[in-house]
Amino acid sequence: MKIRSFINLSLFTFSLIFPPLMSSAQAQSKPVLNIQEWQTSQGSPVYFVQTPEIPMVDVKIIFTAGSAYDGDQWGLANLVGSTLEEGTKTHNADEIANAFDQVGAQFSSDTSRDLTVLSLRSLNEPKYLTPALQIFAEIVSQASFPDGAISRVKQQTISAIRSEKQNPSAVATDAFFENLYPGHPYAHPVLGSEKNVESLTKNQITDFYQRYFAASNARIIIVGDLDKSAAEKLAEGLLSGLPKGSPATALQAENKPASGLHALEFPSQQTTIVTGQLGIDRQSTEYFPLMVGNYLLGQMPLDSLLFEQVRNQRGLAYSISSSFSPMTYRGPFAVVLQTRTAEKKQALSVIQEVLRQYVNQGPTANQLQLAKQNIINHFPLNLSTNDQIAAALMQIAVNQRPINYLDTYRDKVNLVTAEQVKQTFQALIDPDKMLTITVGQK
Amino acid sequence: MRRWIFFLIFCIPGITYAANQSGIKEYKLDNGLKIIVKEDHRAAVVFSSIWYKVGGAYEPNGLTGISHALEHMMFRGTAKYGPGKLSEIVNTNGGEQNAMTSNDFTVYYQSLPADKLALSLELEADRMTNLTLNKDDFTKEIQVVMEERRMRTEDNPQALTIERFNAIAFINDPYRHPVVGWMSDLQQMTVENLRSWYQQWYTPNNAVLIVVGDVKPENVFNLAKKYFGNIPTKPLEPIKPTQEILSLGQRHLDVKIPAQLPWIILGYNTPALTTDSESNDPYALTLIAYLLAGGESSRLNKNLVRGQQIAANVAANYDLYNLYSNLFLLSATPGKQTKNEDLKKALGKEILSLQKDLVTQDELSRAKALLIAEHVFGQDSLTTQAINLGLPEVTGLSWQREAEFVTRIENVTAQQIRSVAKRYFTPENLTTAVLDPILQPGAPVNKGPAHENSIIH
Repeated sequence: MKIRSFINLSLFTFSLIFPPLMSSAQAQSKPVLNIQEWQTSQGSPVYFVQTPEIPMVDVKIIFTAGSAYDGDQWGLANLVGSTLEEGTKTHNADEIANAFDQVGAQFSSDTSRDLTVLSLRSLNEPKYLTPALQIFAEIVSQASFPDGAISRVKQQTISAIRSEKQNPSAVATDAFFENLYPGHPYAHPVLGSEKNVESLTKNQITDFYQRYFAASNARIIIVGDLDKSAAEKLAEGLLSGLPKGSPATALQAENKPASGLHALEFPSQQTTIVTGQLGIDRQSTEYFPLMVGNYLLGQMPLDSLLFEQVRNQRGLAYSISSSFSPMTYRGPFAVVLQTRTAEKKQALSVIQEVLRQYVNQGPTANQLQLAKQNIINHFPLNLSTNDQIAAALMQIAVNQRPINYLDTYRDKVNLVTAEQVKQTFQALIDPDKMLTITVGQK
Repeated sequence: MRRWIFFLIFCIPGITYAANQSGIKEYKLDNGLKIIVKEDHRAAVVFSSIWYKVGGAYEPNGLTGISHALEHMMFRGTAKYGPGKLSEIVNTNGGEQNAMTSNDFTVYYQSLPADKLALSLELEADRMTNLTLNKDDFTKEIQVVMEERRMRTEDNPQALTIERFNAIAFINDPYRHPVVGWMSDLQQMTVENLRSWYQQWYTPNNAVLIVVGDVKPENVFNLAKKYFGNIPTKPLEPIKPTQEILSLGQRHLDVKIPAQLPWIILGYNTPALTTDSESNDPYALTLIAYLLAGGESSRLNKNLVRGQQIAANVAANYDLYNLYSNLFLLSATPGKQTKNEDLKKALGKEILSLQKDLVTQDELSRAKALLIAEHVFGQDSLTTQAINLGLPEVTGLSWQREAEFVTRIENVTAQQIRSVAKRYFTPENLTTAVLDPILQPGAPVNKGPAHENSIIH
């Protein structure tokens, strides 16, 4: 992750915008997106969509190299990702920064539990794109991790860890993962802990880099104003310096989540509540009923069942949502809200009541119809920009969806029944065995 | 060679810009509603937004936050489209809606499939005049607003610091009040206050409709005429001109609150494009923010984060489009071993160096490249395109200012950078703040790896 402080722009919105769900395509002969898929000579899958309207290109390299692969060295994956641009065999950090900035290119590295994603956004004219890609390829395949840079990025990471510790939502999320995945590679925060980050060594960093930054462990996304042969050259050149290596091994599957209420003291006006259970993995066959069902429960803008009961009816919170986060191992299902501390009991009981009723009875036909219509009709809006197209390709690549995934998506949403929603929720969610974290004053 | 690079970098985005601006049309209805349409036919999608010239900066003492509270109540709907109905219609049509309140404006928007544009205009025309403003709804919604304030400001140490910072960096300027409002004002606000605020400001002659997407301008105009055309004009009292008075010396603020990280802010009172529309100074200030902290190669990143390693991170901010005056802001998080005072001094030194020496052409062209490329990248988002047209409109300028942006940035010289730095970065214009954390005794501590006990009780 990139560590950057921000200035509050004093913009206040009516509601928080949650990351849009991937939605999809009607049965029609023309594909929704003309996705081209191939493999580099080293076998890395490439997904490409040509968008000729804006003179720019987005490139992402996805490595299966998230914090779940840290082992006992918490924060290792993130530190590797954050230190890539700090030096190569032939260029130092200042030179790398100059090289990107002088062509207006934007580079970033983002580590999550499953993945490390490196992104480049550049103007498409070869005189800007070519130098940007050269330095990008160099960072990816020839990072040298200078000692000085490692110790500095460690300090920046520790600063980011402290920044999370003064954010009640981040504190609650960390505690939720810690208790949902005790002893599992998902348990610890992506950034690691101060003590661990401090103790990471250069050898650990280079070992991780050599093991996971390999062509067999990489996928490439390209979206922008270039043709296929240019995209082929781009992908080939970008990874040509990497060893073939091998894909990351499967994650440990054994896990015994804790349940019950865990209250953390925090000097905040509000109490943050995170309550949930284990959800689904990326390959889940129940994805559609659960996603559509949850959309109605806690995602649909201004109109979800939780938004209506918690916010509209009672004014208990500004932000309230529920979500499934499919991950390589089963990701969480979680309901999250912030409420004034005096109302935390009421807020929690409203959530529990809504959830219990939903799991017991499922949605009504009308409610489900509304959610489906929103998802289906919203489909073109979620694929209208380069950003969104790149995000959709990421989903296809990481979740190993078929290439016609978007073409059949709307049909699959449409086929979901109220009974299916009820059954899949009942099979997965037990409202009496929720893990609940509260962060706030007593 | 250097000149050559400079030319190549900037001519291409410039040409792109000329092409894009040609797709913009402006109209006005008889009742004063201004309409701006920008065509973008990449996908069958439209972003429709209605901007009211009212926000935090319009609010008197005692009523701070009222524009934002009213924005919330706009979603409680009208007799025809009540709260459930409003969201249901937008949702079933695949739309997405939200609103934003800032110092200078309140904007409501929907993203919709392009053939559903009429829906947005019908709903917005309806709630421009027919808002219910029910007392029971208000009682609940004002609680939601207070929760928003707690979440975004009270429980966020940096946001809380910025709020207090604005209250001393601006002397008589309305930007000294927070947009969300002081808690005590929110607690005393009534639905009657909102009703008169609504009646005062929500009128077609105080609004701008901005539509970007897969539409034909003529069609948008006809639809706007159909839905908004019959709404009568209301007399608008011109806002009293407010001129920020000169400070009599440097100001400093200490904020001691529970937090984990110290933080330093330097802010200089500066003009905005509205208060200085003739000179190129605001564009020079925009570039200075990028020179100092725009990309990884910028001065503060190079010198303070990587070089001296006394900052963990740095940021610079300058808003071009403000109705009143403005602040040029620098902020930084000290490194672990760094004293706040030392980092503050180092930031001051960087300012001094801008005033003394000319920036190099390399640096200047990097900052310009970043800014202009970012502007091209902004074309990817319909929302960004609409905001870029709306901001000048609600700050007393024309959307056409947007068309000049790239050229104006290109024209900034190293000499201008130096003279602007000298003119505005003076001790009198300066306010500094230090967030000095009170360590939380009960703060959770991140424990070691999995072999330790990892369950919190």
